[in-house]
Amino acid sequence: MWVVVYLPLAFAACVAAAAALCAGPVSPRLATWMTVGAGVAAATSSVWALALLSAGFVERGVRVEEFSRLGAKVVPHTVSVVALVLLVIGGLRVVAACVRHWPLYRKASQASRADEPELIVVPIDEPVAFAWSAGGGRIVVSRGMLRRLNAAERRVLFAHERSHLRNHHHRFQLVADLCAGANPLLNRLRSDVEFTLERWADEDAAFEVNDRRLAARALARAATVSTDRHHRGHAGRLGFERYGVARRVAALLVDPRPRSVRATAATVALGGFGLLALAGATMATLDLIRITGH
Amino acid sequence: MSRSSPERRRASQTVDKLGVRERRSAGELEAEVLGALWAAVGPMTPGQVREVLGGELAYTTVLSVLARLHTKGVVVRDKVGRAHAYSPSVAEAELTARRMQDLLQRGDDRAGVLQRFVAGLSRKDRALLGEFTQQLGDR
Repeated sequence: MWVVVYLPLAFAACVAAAAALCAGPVSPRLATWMTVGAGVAAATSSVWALALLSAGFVERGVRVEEFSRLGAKVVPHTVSVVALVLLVIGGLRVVAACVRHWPLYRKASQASRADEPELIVVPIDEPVAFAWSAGGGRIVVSRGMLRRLNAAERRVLFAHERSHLRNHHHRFQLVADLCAGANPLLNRLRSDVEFTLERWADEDAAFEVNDRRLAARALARAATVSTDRHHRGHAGRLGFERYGVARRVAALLVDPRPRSVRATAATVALGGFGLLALAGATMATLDLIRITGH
Repeated sequence: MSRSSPERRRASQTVDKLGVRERRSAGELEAEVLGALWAAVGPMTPGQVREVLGGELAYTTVLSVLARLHTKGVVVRDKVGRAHAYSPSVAEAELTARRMQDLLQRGDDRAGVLQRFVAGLSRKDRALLGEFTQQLGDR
């Protein structure tokens, strides 16, 4: 009966696997929403499952009769202890994710002025570009990056970063980060979402300049110059030139296809596993209520 | 879930919106002009800026964007003959960079993304990119 309580944990792993399958063939916007949605479902239900599992241990400590019987009979003691440890680790990881993101959400007044143009140029020769959500959104680009692109390519770059800002991509990234923190099984969700967000912005930029090849060229050039030198990464910020660049360039070079069977299957699987995780958590809760009710 | 993917939906919009898209917002123009000034080796006259940006913008538009950027203090100008030549204000940018230093530096201690980027561009990626760049031709 108490097998269901382990299901959310199993389905979290399935969600991570299905998200990886979605990242390529599914349209980036849908893939992002599905991945983040299923990730939230898997993370919350697995945290709840761990809480249920560790409940036996905690309650035994305070000697509540019903629960101690429950703890001893349906959840082995060691499992309860392990669940509690995992829960604490997850909590700490979530706090760490918040600390990582916090500087990006602080008041923009610290770093940018209201009358400043949207484009902030950093006078360094390293090629760097990212969107910064603070203060109504700023595009931060280094002089090095601007010099390596021509005017048309710079338009692609700006359009790409603007898409990040307009669509609040940092929020998706934050949520994915929190899910991964809560459940390490969902760790790779972070890179999947980062990839689909970049693809999303790529598609928007290509639409904006109305030229997919131009968008691909800008991206390829930015990527080549970025790695020709030592690259300083900026976590939590969405960069023009990061993440599976070759795959992104390749995707821009083909016309967007109508949804394939594979893409539909991956999407359905992702959503399905998320719902199954939630269902597992719900059933386990109902079980608990039933057992303790008697 | 609707049948049409966002790309397809928007691809159809390209046709109706083509005329609209050609009119860029003030913010977009500012970014493009400022970007062009930073990418240039020396000061540029409004005419040169216009040329670099593809020549499709009106001269007066370029002029007014430059004037706005000058008011905001991010570009400086010198009188060259009868026209002004504009260049980005390095001093102002350094100030901004200093104000943002915290943000710029904080990125460094979070190595996760840095690692991923480097790892993301594997030898295979690099080879592929080289192919693409050839395929796409130089500028």
